[in-house]
Amino acid sequence: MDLAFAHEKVVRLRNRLRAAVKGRDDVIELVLVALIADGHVLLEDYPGSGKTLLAKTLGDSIIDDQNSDEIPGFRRVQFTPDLLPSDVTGVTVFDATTSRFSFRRGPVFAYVVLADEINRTSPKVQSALLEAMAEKQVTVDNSTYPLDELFFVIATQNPLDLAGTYPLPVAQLDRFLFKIRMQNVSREAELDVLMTAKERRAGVPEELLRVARAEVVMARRLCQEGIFISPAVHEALVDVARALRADRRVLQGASTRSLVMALPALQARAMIHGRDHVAPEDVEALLVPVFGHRLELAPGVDDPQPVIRDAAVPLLERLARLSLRG
Amino acid sequence: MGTPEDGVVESNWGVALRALAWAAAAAALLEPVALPIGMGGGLAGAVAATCLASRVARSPVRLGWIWLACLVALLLGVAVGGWLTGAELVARWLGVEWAQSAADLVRFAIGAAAIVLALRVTAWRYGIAAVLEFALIALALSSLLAMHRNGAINHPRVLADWALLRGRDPRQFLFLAGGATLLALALALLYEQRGRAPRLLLHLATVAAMALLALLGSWFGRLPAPPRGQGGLGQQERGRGSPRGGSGGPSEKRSTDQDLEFRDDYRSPSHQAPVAVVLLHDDYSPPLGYYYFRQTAFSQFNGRRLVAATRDDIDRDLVLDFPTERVRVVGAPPLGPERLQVRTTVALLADHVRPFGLESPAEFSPREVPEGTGAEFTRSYEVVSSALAVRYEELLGRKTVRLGRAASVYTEMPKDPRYRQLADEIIRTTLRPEFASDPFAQALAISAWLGKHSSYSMRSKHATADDPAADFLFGDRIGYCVHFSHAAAYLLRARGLPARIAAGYVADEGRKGSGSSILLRQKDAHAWAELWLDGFGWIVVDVSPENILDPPDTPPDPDLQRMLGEMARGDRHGGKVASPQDQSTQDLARLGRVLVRGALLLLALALSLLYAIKIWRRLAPALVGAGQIHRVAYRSALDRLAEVGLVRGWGETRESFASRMMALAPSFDPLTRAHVARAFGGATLPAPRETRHWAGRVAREVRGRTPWWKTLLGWINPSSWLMSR
Repeated sequence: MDLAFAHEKVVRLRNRLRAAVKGRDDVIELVLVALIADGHVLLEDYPGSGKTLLAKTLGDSIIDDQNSDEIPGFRRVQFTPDLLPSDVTGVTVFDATTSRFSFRRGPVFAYVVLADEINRTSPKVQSALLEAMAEKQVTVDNSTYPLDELFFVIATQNPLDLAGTYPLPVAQLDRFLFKIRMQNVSREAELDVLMTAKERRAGVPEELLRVARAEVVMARRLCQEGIFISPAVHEALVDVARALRADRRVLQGASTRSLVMALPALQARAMIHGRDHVAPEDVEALLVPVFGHRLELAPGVDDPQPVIRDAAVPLLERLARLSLRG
Repeated sequence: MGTPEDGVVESNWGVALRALAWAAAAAALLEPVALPIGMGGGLAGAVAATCLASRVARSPVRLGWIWLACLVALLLGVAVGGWLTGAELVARWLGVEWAQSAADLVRFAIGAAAIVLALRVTAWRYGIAAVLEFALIALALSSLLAMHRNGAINHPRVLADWALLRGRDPRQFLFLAGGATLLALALALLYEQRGRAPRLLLHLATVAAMALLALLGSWFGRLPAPPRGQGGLGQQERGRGSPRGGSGGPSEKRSTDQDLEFRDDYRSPSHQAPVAVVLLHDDYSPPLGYYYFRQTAFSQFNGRRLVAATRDDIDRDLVLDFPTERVRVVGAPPLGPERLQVRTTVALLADHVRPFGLESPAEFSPREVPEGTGAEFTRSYEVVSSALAVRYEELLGRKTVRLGRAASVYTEMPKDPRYRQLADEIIRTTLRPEFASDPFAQALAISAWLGKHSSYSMRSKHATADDPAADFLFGDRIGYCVHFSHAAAYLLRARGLPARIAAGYVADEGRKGSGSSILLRQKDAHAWAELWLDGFGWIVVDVSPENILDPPDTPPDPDLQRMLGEMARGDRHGGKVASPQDQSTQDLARLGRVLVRGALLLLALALSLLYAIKIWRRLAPALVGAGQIHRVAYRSALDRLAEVGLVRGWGETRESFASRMMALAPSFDPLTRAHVARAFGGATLPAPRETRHWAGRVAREVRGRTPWWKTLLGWINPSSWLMSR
């Protein structure tokens, strides 16, 4: 099994997602990158923009090959202010027939979990989810229950309508590999959504093959082992982080952990594009999703995108020039 | 020029370049008409308007109002200027001179600013209007150059005549100025296309280098000489005829039939062009106040007009060839108290068929052509003349004698009785009876009558008549020297007096410069009637018409005349004595020459180095091995794109540049991928053969999709590869 195998699996997933969700190819790619890089995704988007469909299709596309009906492919949690941590993680219940306590698994026990409007719930519920994301395990009543290896969270939050919400602090946002700010779809894509509404209601066509859970896990491993990262790319990453920290508009820059997390993401993107090496275009494409939500910006600065762009341009230029030297 | 959509502030380079162009145009247009202060005002107005234009253009004011405001300002400027010159108050305060300067300042500063602003704003709002702007600038600059066409050196010597005054070939400077104008306009156009200053600078430097190299070529390779006019009357038609060499024999007399042809329009654009310099070595003041330089004479009536005599035995005082040794003129009048010996040197600046000399030439001898001066003399010779030195009153009472067999030639004329009638009438009405038979008195009466009753103009309409002279004399009496001389000669002949027409040059005595030099121009060519008086030879009977319809003549520039005179004397420095200061100036000039040559050499070296690298980078993909092929092939494709102006942006990744080029060169994408894979540690690389194949396809795709001139420019540009990044 080699990279071609992994690439083929990811392409299958991508085709299924593209068939279901129109006009969001960039988001689909980032979601898949996060899936392969073993990270989680925070989508910042308006209601009705296809987030649930995306997450559901992703969950449906992964065949459960563990023969245990305990873990479904896809679960959705609607976060509300009165939600309790146990509603997310699961709860220990007393079984009268066996006179024993048994653990009822919560919705996080799934391959793909959609955490809808994560900023609407209280911090303790948020932290319960975030612990699950970070540790891939759930602790209830001093017992620890491991989550599946392929545990992938797509959290969403509404960028507007902030009244009565509990915004995630930067330290918590750090757990997400990407924060993807979705743009409005183009006119053609929106038209496409309407035109294909009927076919898509029937679900993803059967000829688009699904992928087994083990294959995804295998793809993750192959990707991390097989995609070469040039020292120049390492240098560029470190220098971008340093440039960001030095920027006046940034109060707190990207952490070292974020750099470490960026590496598998770069590899995953290279693999999705069928390459066996990380290229500068991967760096360019992933800098904003990786670093955007990790920066604490100075008062008055709203958009991290130009800040990151300014830090990255000289390094991208250096990478481009480096390649021409003999 | 800047499109309204781009919304960016115009770069300072653009404004500066444009202001420069407008300033040059204003200077070119105002130079002939404005005082120095007015010219300064015009320049300042043009520059200020250029700087202001973008601001005005971005304001919400509508274009119509801007135009109206500019028009009002223009009229106001003219009105205020007029008031400043006219008002007595101002003149009393400032003095007349300053009032005039102030008027000029106001007039031209406001005028230039208004015109430039209106055009600039229009061009800013509607890109196509930039054409108007360019047309005006180009027109202004080329008018400056047009003044100097054919290498003419004449008064408004703005561009290159100063070079001549310093003993340099003015053509080089004209060439330089023309090249610079062309370059500036081309650059301005280039700038309009893309407003990126740094890239523009590189282009600019490259083009300037090319222009310099072209200049270098012209310097060492010698420019072709500009077409030069020929001296003498009717010189335009001549030139191809007139076999040179040979002597004697009536059949070999020069065919000068066309020389004195009647023409309706005698004006010529090269009238101001200098044709010769005459140096007077003896103090001589001509009795009529004019120096007459006789070149040829026309005595024989051919049924329509007077032409050069074909007979050997008449007009023997004419010399047909330039002297190769000392030549005595056979029929020259003898020296004596009436005729003084006057020595002159003639240096010709234009080709002549035969020599001329101060009336009446007695001896011609050759002289070496002064070399090493800036002016290009074609020929030089010395003349000894026996010049008439008596006052005209003393010629009264002289007889015309029989001229032997030749006499009949000098009295042949049209068989029109009106000539005789008119001649008799003139003599009867203007002369007292005791002078009625005096030859010279009759000649004076006839020329005085003609001068009084006819008008001079270069334009007339007698040429198509059977007898143009009669058509002139008995018609509207508007004509130029050919008409006058024919009329005078016929009237004299009608009275039985031997007369002929002589042609050559005439110059006002007042024009004799301080160096006793006279600059003859093409427009000084002249024809006049002559009367034979016994003991004196041929006497000039010229008609000076009182009524001149043409604009008055401008005398040649005295500085130019003096300088050409000194050059004709053989003085390299145009009459300036070489002082120690001059010595140091010369040393400086020599140093400057060395420096310029060194710089040009370096430039040539740098250019050839650039070309060598360019060629190497282009050929390299075919020569390198598998280890380097991906990088080198990619680089050659980059060069191809850079040649047609397509380069990767700052901070743009190679991949996104490739996708940007997708429409133009689809094969560039796989080439880029291979290159990036090799540079960033990809394990699977395409085969070298395949990479070479892609590189070749990119070259073909780029060539196939760009206009041929762009491809050609890319080929020529030696620095294109510097831009591929």
